[in-house]
Order: sequence, then C-alpha cells, then structure tokens
Amino acid sequence: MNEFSDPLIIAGRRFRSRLLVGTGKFPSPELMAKAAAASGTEIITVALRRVDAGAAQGNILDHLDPERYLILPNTSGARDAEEAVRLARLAKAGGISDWVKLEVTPHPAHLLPDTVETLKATEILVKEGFVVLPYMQPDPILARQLEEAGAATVMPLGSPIGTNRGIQTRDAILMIIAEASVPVVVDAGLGAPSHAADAMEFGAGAVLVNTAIATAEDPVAMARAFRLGTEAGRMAYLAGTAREKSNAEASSPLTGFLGGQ
Amino acid sequence: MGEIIVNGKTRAWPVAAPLPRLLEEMGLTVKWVLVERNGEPVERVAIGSTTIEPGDRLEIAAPMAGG
Repeated sequence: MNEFSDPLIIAGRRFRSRLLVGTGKFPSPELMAKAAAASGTEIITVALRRVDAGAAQGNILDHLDPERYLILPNTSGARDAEEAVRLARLAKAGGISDWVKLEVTPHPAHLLPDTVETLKATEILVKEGFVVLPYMQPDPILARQLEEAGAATVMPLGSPIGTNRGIQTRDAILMIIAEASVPVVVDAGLGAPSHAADAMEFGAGAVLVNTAIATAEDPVAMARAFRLGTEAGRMAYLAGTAREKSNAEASSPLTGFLGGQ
Repeated sequence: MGEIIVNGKTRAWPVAAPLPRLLEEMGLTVKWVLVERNGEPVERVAIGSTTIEPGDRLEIAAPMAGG
C-alpha cells in the first residue's frame, strides 16, 4: 500500500493527505506556511473577514501556493444560514473557491454548530453548485440528512473548537462512519497526534487540525507529528486493528518453561 | 447624498466612480479583496468595471488566517 493507492476522495477530487489544516492562531504567516508544508496537507482553511482602510498589505494567500493546496474558505462567524451563504457566495465570486467549509456557530461561548441552520445552508449552497463540507454536531441522523442534501463530506466535532480535548464524541462518530457514504472528517478538538491517529484508526476519512499545531511550541514539528499520527492511524485502519478482549491472552508460548517437569 | 457605506461606516463619495478608486483610497490591493455591493457579490473579473454610486452599501473583505 502507498499513499497513491489510498486516496481521500472528496467530490471526485483525489487527495493523498488525510490531514486538513487550518491557518488560524499561528505566530506568523511564515511559520504557518512552513507548518502547512510539514503537515503534508493538501487542503487548507481560511476565514473571511472585513478589511478596512489602512489594513496591512499582503494576505495569508500570498504565503500559500494554490497549485499545492486547495484553499478552503470557511464561514466562521456566521450565526445563521443566511450569513453563511453570503460568505460562501462572496468567496466564490472573489475567485477563492466554490468549495466551502460550512460553519454556523451562533454562540461564541461554545461555538457549537447550529444543526437547523447548517442543514438549511447546505441545501441552498449545494443547489448553487458549491462543494459543501459542513461542520456538524456528531449526530448520525443529521449526517444522513446532510448527505442527502448533497454535502461532500460530513465533519463531526471531536470536542469544541480550540479545546484540545480530543474525541469526546466517539460513539456517535462511529455510528456516523458506519452509515456514511461520504468521507467523515473529524474536525475540532483534536489536541494531539494520538487523537488524530485514534480517529483514523476507527475509520474516519480524514481529520482537520488547527489550534493544536498553531499553538504548539514548535508548530512545524507538531505539524509533522500530526502528519505521522494521521498516516499511522490510517495505515492501522487498513491493516485491520486487532480486537479488544477482556481477558489476557499470552503472546508468548505457554509451554516449555524453564524448571518444568 | 454624496456618501457610501463601507463595512458599516459612512464615507464621502460625491459622484459615481470606479470601484478600484475606492480600493486605492482605502489602501487595499485588488489581488485578494472580496467585494459585496448592495448585497450582491462582485465577481473578481468585474471589479475593474464596477461603478460605485453615491448611496451604495459595500462590504470589503479578504481571506484571513482561520480554521
């Protein structure tokens, strides 16, 4: 098996990397770009915000090669479907992308996605020809509904954005994976490469990481660590992870002990 | 009227003039800006040929670092 024989396929497009990376919270755009390269990612998220007179020149996209990365605008900050659709349309018209990471998070305290508005925005954007990757509550029924609405992936949260608490929603994500026919991307809350490996081992299609890389003491090294964690987890999933058992089972022979009869 | 609203703030705009002039006045490079005029997104290829009229409401945005 090599990475070319096991692509991640989203909306018909093939990716070698199963690690999506966000660009927020890095100490500098230069470090962000180095970390992105070290992560091996091919899909990078950006936010869209107002720029006012006298804003600093230069842009995050000046640091990212569009040949190497798919730039995935998010709708962060949107509080309802209307605001999210507005952001997506702006990004498309502006030539950024017709792919969108749909985020509808009305409450700043927990940034949990609004299920009703997320589904509504997905329906609207898919009809307009967008490739929609919705950030979602880990709910298998919602995952089915989003898929039926034409979502290109489903992106259940492991734990709230930026918390680094890992996968607190494992059972629900397993149910989503069992049913889904689009890639399941575990997004939010992955705080360590072991969390990414865990998600990949239990069958996630990909993971999205931002805070854990960006706020590490050495973001470039952490990006590489997440790359390895993601790859290790995927490889283990394909290899067939050994079953859990309640009783010990010796891995060494139970005969031929020294001093026996 | 002689004014436009840009990102929620009022700005003097006495007569109809091209959008690139506004961006220039704001010190913004055209390369990555995203423009919404009166609620409608402006296609990148149309930025140069778009005219801003007094009374227009604009949102000027750009990609930023984010997850």
